[in-house]
Amino acid sequence: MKIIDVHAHYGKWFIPTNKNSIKDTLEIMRKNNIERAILSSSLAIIYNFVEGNRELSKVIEGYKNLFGYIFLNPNYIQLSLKEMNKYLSRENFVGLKLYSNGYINQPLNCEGHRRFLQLLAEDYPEKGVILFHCWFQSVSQLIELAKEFPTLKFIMGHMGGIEWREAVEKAKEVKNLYLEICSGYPLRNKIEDAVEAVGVQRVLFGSDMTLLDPGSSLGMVLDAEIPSEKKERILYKNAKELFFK
Amino acid sequence: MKIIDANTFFGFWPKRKVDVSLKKLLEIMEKHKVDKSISLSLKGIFYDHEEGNEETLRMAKKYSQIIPAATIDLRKYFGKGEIVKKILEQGFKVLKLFPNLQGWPISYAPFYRLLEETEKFKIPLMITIVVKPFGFHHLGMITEISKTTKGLKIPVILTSFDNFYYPEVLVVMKENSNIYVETSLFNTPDSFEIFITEVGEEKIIFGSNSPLNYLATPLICLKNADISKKQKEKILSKNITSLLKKNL
Repeated sequence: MKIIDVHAHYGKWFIPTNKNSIKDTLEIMRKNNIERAILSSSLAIIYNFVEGNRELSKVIEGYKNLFGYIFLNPNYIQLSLKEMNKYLSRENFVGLKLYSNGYINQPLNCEGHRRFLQLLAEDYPEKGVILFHCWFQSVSQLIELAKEFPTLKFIMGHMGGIEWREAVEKAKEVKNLYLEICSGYPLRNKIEDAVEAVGVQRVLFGSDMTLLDPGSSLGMVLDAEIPSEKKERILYKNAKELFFK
Repeated sequence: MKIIDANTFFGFWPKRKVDVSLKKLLEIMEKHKVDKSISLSLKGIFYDHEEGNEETLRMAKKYSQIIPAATIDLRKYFGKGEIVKKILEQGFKVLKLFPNLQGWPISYAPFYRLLEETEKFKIPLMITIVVKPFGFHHLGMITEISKTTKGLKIPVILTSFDNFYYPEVLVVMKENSNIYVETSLFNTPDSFEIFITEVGEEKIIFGSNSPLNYLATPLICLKNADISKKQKEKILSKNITSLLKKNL
């Protein structure tokens, strides 16, 4: 089965891993049959977003199977708006990656994020997909944003993380919200519960590589007790329709 | 390749809706061609270890795929002196402890006393690390385990820890030769590669935390690791067989 990975990274992490280069990423994609991957920069997330976005734009240039999310820091609103205008006109940048808590000390529903979403909805509606890191105390905040910006498409990274059951329930009624499945904790039934709650069309495959390996999420989908057509949707078709129509 | 899953459970899971029955575990084992599982009844963790251990033994007698693991809830243990001996006589192969699920610390007098018993009667120990809820890490816990178990001859197998713990685990393994690791939260192929490079493949035991977790995840990561077939064989079955000193 072909795969599109909607949650991948480029760069180093604070944990031991020896797969940091773009060559490593391409080899991991080949091994796991990943046709396309959308990456954000770990340098941008953890440290300097301008430097990280720039580095990512360079490493993915020329590759037809690698795409980027721009990472924005709501502590630097004007600089972030400039980053949006700089990268969103490029074909290989397909949306935003936004974070909360730890690295940036801001909640998901902060003023900065609202400004970014406003600009995205008004000036770049064709690139209106946002992947949010969502692990702890952020599910309600994301639901709030998704309702406030109904023309944008929101991806809840990690399916809400430790709040995944709350996430699955709350996502039912929010039709512009997608659940992305990656997690270091491959709890059984997560996929089945997500599909049952929001419908298979709103569940997306993400790997979190190279923080995690695609095998982690792939194992979850392949082991899930759902028909193979639904697995194909999660692994490929949903992302194709969302990003690559 | 023969597979022994060193970390499985069966029974009922009260914290979320998921089928963790023995029937489901056996079905998953069959699907992934797992030959045997070291397993125990969850009743022993959450309710009463004596009742849980009895249930584990009953099921192991009925199903040859199940290798029985015992557990002791240290909140109910005050050093009676013979509990480990009894467990061994009953036919258990390993003793599993759940400090974080049961809320007792490593620096805990009943744990020290139990270690004396396990050393005297020679039963391998498995200690589960990850704290609920997932994602909150209890760094330093493994260092405490290492300090507490240093010098013991029994194997101590650390189970269910994720990559946030790797540096701590690797350092203690280099200092303490009786420490082993289980793989249920090894979520990258290079987890296997790093542990092999740093401490050797003999120290790695395959486990999945099934049926609570998807078994395919650690299996795919192992399959994709750039290591030899012989190393995979050791991780999948030979290391645990040798540790338990039994022809499983």
